[in-house]
Amino acid sequence: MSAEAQATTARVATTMRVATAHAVTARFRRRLRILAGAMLLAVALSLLFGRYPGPYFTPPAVLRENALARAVVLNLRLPRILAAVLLGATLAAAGTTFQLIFRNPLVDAGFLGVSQGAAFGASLGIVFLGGSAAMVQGSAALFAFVGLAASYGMAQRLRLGDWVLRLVMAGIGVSAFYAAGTGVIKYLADPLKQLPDITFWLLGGLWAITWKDVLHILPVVVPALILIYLMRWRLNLLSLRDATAFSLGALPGRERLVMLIASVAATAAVVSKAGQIGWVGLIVPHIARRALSADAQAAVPGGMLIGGLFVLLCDGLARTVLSGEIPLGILTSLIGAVVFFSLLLRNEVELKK
Amino acid sequence: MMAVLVLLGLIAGCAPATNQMREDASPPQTTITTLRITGAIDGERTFTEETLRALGTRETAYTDRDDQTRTYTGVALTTLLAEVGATADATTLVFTANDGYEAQAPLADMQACAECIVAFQSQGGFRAVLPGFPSKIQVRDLIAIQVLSDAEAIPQAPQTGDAIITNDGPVTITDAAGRAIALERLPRRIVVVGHGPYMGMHLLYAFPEGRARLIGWESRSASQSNFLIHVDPDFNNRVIGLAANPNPEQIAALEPDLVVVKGLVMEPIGEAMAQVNIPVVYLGLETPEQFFQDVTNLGLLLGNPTRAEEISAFYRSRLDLIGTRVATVPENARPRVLLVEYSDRGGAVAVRVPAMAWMQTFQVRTAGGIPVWGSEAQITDGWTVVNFEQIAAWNPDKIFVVLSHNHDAQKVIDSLKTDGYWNKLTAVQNRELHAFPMDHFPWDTPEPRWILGFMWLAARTHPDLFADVDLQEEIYAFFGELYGMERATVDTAILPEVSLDVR
Repeated sequence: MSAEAQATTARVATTMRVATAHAVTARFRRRLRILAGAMLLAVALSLLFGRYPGPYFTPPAVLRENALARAVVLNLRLPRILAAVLLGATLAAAGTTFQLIFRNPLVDAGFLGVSQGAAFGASLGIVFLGGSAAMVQGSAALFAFVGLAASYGMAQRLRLGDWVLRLVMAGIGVSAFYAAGTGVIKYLADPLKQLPDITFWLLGGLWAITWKDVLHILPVVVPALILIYLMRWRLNLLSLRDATAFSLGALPGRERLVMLIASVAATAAVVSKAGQIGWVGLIVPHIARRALSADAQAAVPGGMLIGGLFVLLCDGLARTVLSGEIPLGILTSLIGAVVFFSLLLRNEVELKK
Repeated sequence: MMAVLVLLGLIAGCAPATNQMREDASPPQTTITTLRITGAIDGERTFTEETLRALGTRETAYTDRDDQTRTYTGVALTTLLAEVGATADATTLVFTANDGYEAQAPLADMQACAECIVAFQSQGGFRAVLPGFPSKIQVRDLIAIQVLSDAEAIPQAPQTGDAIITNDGPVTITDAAGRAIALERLPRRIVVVGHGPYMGMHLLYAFPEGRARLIGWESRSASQSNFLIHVDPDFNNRVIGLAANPNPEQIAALEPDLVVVKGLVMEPIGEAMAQVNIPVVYLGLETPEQFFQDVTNLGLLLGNPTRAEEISAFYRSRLDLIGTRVATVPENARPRVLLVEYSDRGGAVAVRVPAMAWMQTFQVRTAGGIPVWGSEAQITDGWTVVNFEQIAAWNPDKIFVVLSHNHDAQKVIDSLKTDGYWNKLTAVQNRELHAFPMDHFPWDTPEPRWILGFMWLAARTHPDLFADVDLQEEIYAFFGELYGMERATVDTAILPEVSLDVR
């Protein structure tokens, strides 16, 4: 084949790919719009479900007459709903980022010692630092970052395999270290007063969220999510091997670090308020890739929306079903596990990217 | 016209004005000279002035709203109630006037009021004279008294609470978390949540107002209301149990005007309740100082500081008695005491010592013993497991074992006494291994019973010093003073649960 013919073939192929890509883009854009609509609707409906004044549905007319009902909706439900959406979006975005960067579909932001670090920090705060809310949250966020830094630092010193493998190994080591620390603290905790606190924190929940808490996490979570959203197309490159990514114009080392810090910062912020919420970061990226596309362009925003919806639904159940709170982490794990199994049992599941 | 005014007055809740109008209006309705008593009693009864006088009369001075003091003659309400035999589930009295006006008052308050009488009016008929209670329940032209069990009473607890609040705020207190709490109006609907809710509830129940105004609690385990049903048989029907870990909205659904939490630091729940303007009060309860502060605070919040003083005086008299006697024992003559909590969960026996700041350690020290676990317990804020080697090294003079309700105390103590290691301990050989007593609740916890545990511990630590203290009498005194329980009730409801001398 002549060089000209080859060039023509290549051009035709490119044009076809672009056309296909446009069709795909149009399809996932439509789905994203549907998801966004569903999110708005879910937020609006969630405002009308709760335990006050009666269980389950709150008729809007009650809000006009009952000042306490207004306060419940505006000062308790609304910040909590926003926190649930932010929590889900953050865990899903961070999960997607981690899965792409580590080229491993079975990791989430809890990886690299972040979750265990937060758990350790929170337990430390509950048992030894007075147990005030600010102290528990601050300590959880601090140790989540220490977890990331320790994993990163260890990975640079390891002499084994490539960068991803080294990070994974370091993360496992740091997590084990923290898990032991948390175990010691649980052992030393007062079983009547502190142990239930630790258990409840480890199971997670949004029951204590106020506007102040939402305002605390916004300055971290929103810029981090925007950064991940804007850099979503780079994630496709960063998921390639270093040499390939570099040849395509990415600075894999530095860009990965930026994405990891953004993910961990946002995760630490939400986890410090909500406790450990399992499975969202692992499951939602898979659902997003199945529902939209394995392309990070679609998977990142789709994951954020699906994650937000998922946590909003679980939290709605957590605060409404009984006369006491059901720990959110139990519901996300339970529902997440069911969804995960149903995905695995359908053979078409794509675990790649 | 007058009926309309009466009705308006009632709706506006300004019954005193109604009374005023009724007095000025003339002529009044035909005077009815009989008093009917109905409801949760042995059988409906109708009294005339003659039959009432036959019950015995007394005089009561009453100062009305215009500062005029008059002396009334009548039959004591307590006598009348005893005569008709109010049933055990009766909680509320409804006084009905000739014109249909009704006012409610808690039965317990009326029974506690010796001066309250049904007086004979000069123009014939009867009236309620209830010194110290609001003017709106001083019902004139009284024709009927209805005794309600709580199931029949108005479901909204505050209305029964309303009637007895004489000094209705504002009130300001500093709670155990060091926060100043200012309330415009005394709380009517109290909910207790958080860890160990029964600790706060048992203290609340020592106040008649607390009993009337508690409307909900966080029910972590159903068995934990075993005691309160003896004080308040209707507890399970009347007080709503929330599932574990209620969130602020779930608490708000009970429409409380005060939430009580046991704790020393501001927990997230306090901040979250503030979002819906529901005040939260923290109780400490872990040390006697905190306990006295909590009692004083509850007295103010319930509008009954006198009762708070009575409760505190009961505790102080015991603390003083033991304090003065123990002070005579020099430090080196005090026994070295080990207090452990025993558990055999999962087949593995473990004994644990309490934290230094806890009630148990305080009890041991103040009862004149030297806690041997001093340095070991400092590393933790909870119970610390100690092994036998450590116990042997301490070689305490006396060992007190705290057990949980599902243990058979005698079996546990016997098993320890026959254990190949434990039977080598001096304390065991000297029969100084004791099971810490309990009734429905343990006596070693920061719950009102701590004073019983403290008395018992002093008597066992220094038997010679406290030979004159009759612990059984202390039990009667405690349940009588705090919960108004008769000796017979204590005999049937409490004493069968207590074993004072298992060793």
